[in-house]
Amino acid sequence: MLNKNSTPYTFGFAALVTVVSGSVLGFCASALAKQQETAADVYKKTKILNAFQVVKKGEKVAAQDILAAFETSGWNSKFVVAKACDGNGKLLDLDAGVIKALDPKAEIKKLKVAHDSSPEDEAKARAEAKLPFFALYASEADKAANKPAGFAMPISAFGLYSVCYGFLAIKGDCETVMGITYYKDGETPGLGANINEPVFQDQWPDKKKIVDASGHYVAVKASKDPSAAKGPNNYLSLSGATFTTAGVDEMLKDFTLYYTPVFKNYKGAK
Amino acid sequence: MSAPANDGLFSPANMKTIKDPFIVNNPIAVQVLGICSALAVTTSMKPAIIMAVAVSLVTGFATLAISLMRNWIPGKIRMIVELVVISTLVIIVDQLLKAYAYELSAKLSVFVGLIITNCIVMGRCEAFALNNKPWPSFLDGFCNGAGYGALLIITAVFREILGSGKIFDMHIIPESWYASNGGWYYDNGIMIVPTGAFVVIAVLIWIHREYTKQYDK
Repeated sequence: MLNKNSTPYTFGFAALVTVVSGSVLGFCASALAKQQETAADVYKKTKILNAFQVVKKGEKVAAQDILAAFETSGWNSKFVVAKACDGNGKLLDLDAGVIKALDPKAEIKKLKVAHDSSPEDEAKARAEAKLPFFALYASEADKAANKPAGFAMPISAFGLYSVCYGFLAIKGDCETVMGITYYKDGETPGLGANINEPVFQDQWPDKKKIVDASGHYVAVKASKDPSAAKGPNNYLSLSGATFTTAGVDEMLKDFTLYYTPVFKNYKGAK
Repeated sequence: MSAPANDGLFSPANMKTIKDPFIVNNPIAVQVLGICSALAVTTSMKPAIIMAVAVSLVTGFATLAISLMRNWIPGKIRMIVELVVISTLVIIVDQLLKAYAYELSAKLSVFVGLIITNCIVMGRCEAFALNNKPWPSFLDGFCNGAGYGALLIITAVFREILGSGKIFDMHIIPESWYASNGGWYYDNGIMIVPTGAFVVIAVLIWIHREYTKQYDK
């Protein structure tokens, strides 16, 4: 008769349970990895199209159509192309795979460090930077003529619990916001996670601008005053989510500042 | 708690095990368990239904697994073993959601993982599965999860309609009623924050106690 309370039995049982549960989880993770990767890719690309207002939030669009918008075939005569530029707004000739692997948060961090160091370091960092973004074309002809209808820049910063990752899309006039979306965050549901809800996102399309009244580039900032928040350079703070709001402010400031040369470059080209 | 000796899959004793979690011994209305996730995932129907299904499956299969092992689990590491089984099942559910319902997985965020800490799951393993055969244990676990889920869904119906004017993300309040379109109607903002869930759940508990006459003495 086994003594269930003996130490060897307890160790043996614990080891058996651990091996069995570990094997089951390992099998699950490897069996579902491919499907998870595709689902995450479709979700992220849907968020980019949400930011461009090509797909409305909640609108049901087949996964293959979402993916097609990013391919040469396009979807609904809309084409989204991944591009990258240096810190001076000069377009870089990089493969799609290389652009996908770029880490915009790390690139912005390098630029910030160089900015705090010296003007020479900053100039060098700007020349070496690789800032990825997405350009939206409203037709095949616009794509051929490189006349984007909008740009989506990746934005990210730490909120309360985690880094929030999203996209800020700007119209082809390089001034008016098309939309803002987040595809990854760990903020509190009902509070900070409201960055994903209409209460936050509906404030942006066509209402906010990244230039002030005199035409200078500025970052859109949070405001607790509802009437001030209706202005083109402010948005209404998230209620009960001070840290998340600070994170949103920080990412808008950093990314707008360092992506500004891209917009200037495109404006100058017109 | 041990179920009376019974024969057959749906014997009177098993039917009692199935029915009790819905009314007489509902995990939320009577035991007031699982409130944290109930506040977070009931702003709309879809996450509430997914959470209800996830908790039902995890509780059902956790109690089944613990019941199958009940004669071999060493007493000293009983709860650790329960936790390993529950965690494994929750991670499988999380992985499946990430593969086949990514958007809902993102919306439910940490609350899928937090099923591990939901007192209902370990409570049923400890109170029922360790002392009962596999089939009644599965019924008890699944139905306790479903009883919890039923209250989540009822709460979500009120919160989505009153808070957003929608049900399953479809508008049911006519657009012309809204003040922004010249009408008189406003969505009730309190329903989309956790406070709204407290109000709805409190009212449901009140109705439940009036119906069952289960008063605190």
